[in-house]
Amino acid sequence: MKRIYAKRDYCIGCRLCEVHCVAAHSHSKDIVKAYKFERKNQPRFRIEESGAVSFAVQCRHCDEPFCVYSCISGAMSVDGNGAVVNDPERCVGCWTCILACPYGAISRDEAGGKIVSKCDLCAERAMPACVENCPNEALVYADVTVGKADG
Amino acid sequence: MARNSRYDYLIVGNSAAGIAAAESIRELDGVGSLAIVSDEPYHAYSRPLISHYLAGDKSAKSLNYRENDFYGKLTIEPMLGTKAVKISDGALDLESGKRLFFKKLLLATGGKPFIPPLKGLSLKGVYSFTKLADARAISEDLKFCRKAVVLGGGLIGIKAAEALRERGIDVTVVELAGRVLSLVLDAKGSAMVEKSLRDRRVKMITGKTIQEIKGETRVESVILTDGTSLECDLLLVAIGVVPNTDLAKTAGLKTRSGIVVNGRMESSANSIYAAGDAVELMDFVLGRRRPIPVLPLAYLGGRVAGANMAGARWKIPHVTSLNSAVFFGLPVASAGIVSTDGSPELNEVSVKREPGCYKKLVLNGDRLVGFVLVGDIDRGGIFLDLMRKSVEMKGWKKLICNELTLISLPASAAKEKIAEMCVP
Repeated sequence: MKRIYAKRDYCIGCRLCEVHCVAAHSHSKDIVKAYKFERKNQPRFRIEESGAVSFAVQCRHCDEPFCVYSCISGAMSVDGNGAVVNDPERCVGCWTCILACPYGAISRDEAGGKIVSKCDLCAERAMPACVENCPNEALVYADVTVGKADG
Repeated sequence: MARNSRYDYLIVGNSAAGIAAAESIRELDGVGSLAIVSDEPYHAYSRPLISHYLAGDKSAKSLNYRENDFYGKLTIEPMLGTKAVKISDGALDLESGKRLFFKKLLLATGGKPFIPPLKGLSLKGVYSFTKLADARAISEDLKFCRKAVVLGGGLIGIKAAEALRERGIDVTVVELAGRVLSLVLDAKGSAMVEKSLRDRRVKMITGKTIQEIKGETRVESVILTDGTSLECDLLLVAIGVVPNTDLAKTAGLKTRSGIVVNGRMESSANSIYAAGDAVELMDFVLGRRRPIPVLPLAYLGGRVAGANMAGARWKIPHVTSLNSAVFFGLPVASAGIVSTDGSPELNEVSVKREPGCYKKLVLNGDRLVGFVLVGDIDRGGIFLDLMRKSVEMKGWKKLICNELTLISLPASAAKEKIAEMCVP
C-alpha cells in the first residue's frame, strides 16, 4: 500500500506541505480563500525540526492501527484504500486515539468540533496534496514493500 | 432465534472484545459459521458513550459501535436479547433451553457493576450506570429529579456527574478515597479535575461512603459513614465494575477476580477463550495479572482471541492501564503507574505550566513506567509507546518541558520510528 515518506536530506522545513494540506481540506480548495475567508482548519500532520534537520510526520496508516482498535466510538476505521480515517460525525473527542498513536500523528482540532485531525491520504486526489506540492520533492507517495520478500 | 445449533465460532458478548474477535475471525476465515450471543437486545454499542446519551448529546442509535450492516457484512448471526446461562460438554446453554454446540467459544462477558450491600437499594430512583438500559432508565426518570447523588468518584462516576449536570440536575459526588479519579490520576491531576467540577457547581464529598439509603417508595436521602444525611431523589451507584465470571464458572474455568487467560487469550479449558473486562491481563508495568477494564485493551484482547480461534498463534502485546477522557472541557490522559507512593525505586519529573496544564512522568531508573497528562495531552501516544517498549534514556524532563517530538528523542528511542517514515 502506498504511504507518504519523507526525504530528510531534501526537506528544508518550508512547511508548504502543511499549507497545501489546509487548502486541500478546505471548502474552496484555494490557499488564499482557505486562509483568509474560511474557518481555518489545521494541517493534518506536522513538520518536525531540530537544527538543520526537518521532515514531515504523517499518519503511517499502520497495518495494525492501534488508534482504530482503541477508538471508543468506532469513529476511527480503515477505508477501502487501506487508509486510516476518522468519521467526524462519530468522533466524540475523547482523545483515546491520541494516547494510542506511537507517532503522535493525531492531533486535536479544538477550533472545530472538538474532534481529531489526522492525515487521510487525500482519498479524493490522485496524490496527496503535500506530496504533490513539495517544492523540493522531499515527500514521496510510494509502496516501500514492493520488491521485499513479504509485504 | 438461532437457526442452527452447531457453530464453528461462538462469541458471548456483543461489545468491544466480542466485536474485535468477530472481526479478526473474519479476516482469517470467511466461511466458518459465527454467532454472537448477547443478553442485551441492542446492536453493538459503545458502553463508554452512555454518559453522552444521559447528557443528551447523543441519541441511542448514534452510540452504535459499528455500522448497521455490520453483522450481515461479516456473516455473523446476531442472537441479541439472548442470555447464555451455562457451558457444558462443548455446548452453550441458553436461558430458553436451546443448546448451541461450538468448536471454539469466546467469553467476552464484560464487567458488572459493583453494588455494595446497602439497605434501600431497591427503592425507586436508585440505579447503577454501566449499560445503555441504565442510561435510558435514568433519562426517563429525570423528570422526577432535582438532586442527585453519585456514589463513586472514578471514571464512571465523574462522567455520570458531568452528564447529570448538563441536564441541569444538582449533583453531589461521594467518593471513599481522599480525591476523585484516585486510580487514574495523581493528587495534582485530581485537584485540577476537582476544580473543573467545582467551577461547574458539582459538589464533592471525599473520604466517605454511603451506609444507608432512605426513603418510602423513592430514595429521599442517603446517610454517609460519618452520619451526615444528604437529600436526593436520584442515586447512581458508580463505584466500579467487576469481571462478569458467572458463565465462566459454570464451565469450571480458572478464575480469580477475573477469568484467567494466557498471552494467547486461552482460558484453562480447551477451545474456550476469554477477553475484555471479564479477564485478568498481565499488566507488564506492575508485573502481575489483574483486570484492566478499558476499551482499547478489550479490543486488543478480543482481536488476539479471535485470530487464535481461527488458527493463528498470536500473543497480546505489552499492556498496562491507559485512560483518556475530557471532564467539562479539561482533557486528562494517563497510563501505567501514576504515583510513586513513596516507593524507593520510583521517581518523577513534572511540569505545571499555565493553569490547566500539568504533565508528569513516573520513572524507574531510566525507564518510563507511567504518566499523567492534564490539559496538554498532545502526542501522549509517544510516551505510551516509549513505556511499552521499556526504552531507557536520559533527558525525560526535557520531553515534558518542551514540545514532544520524535526528532527530539535520543537516537536510540526514535531511530526505528524515524527510519520507518523516511526514505533515502
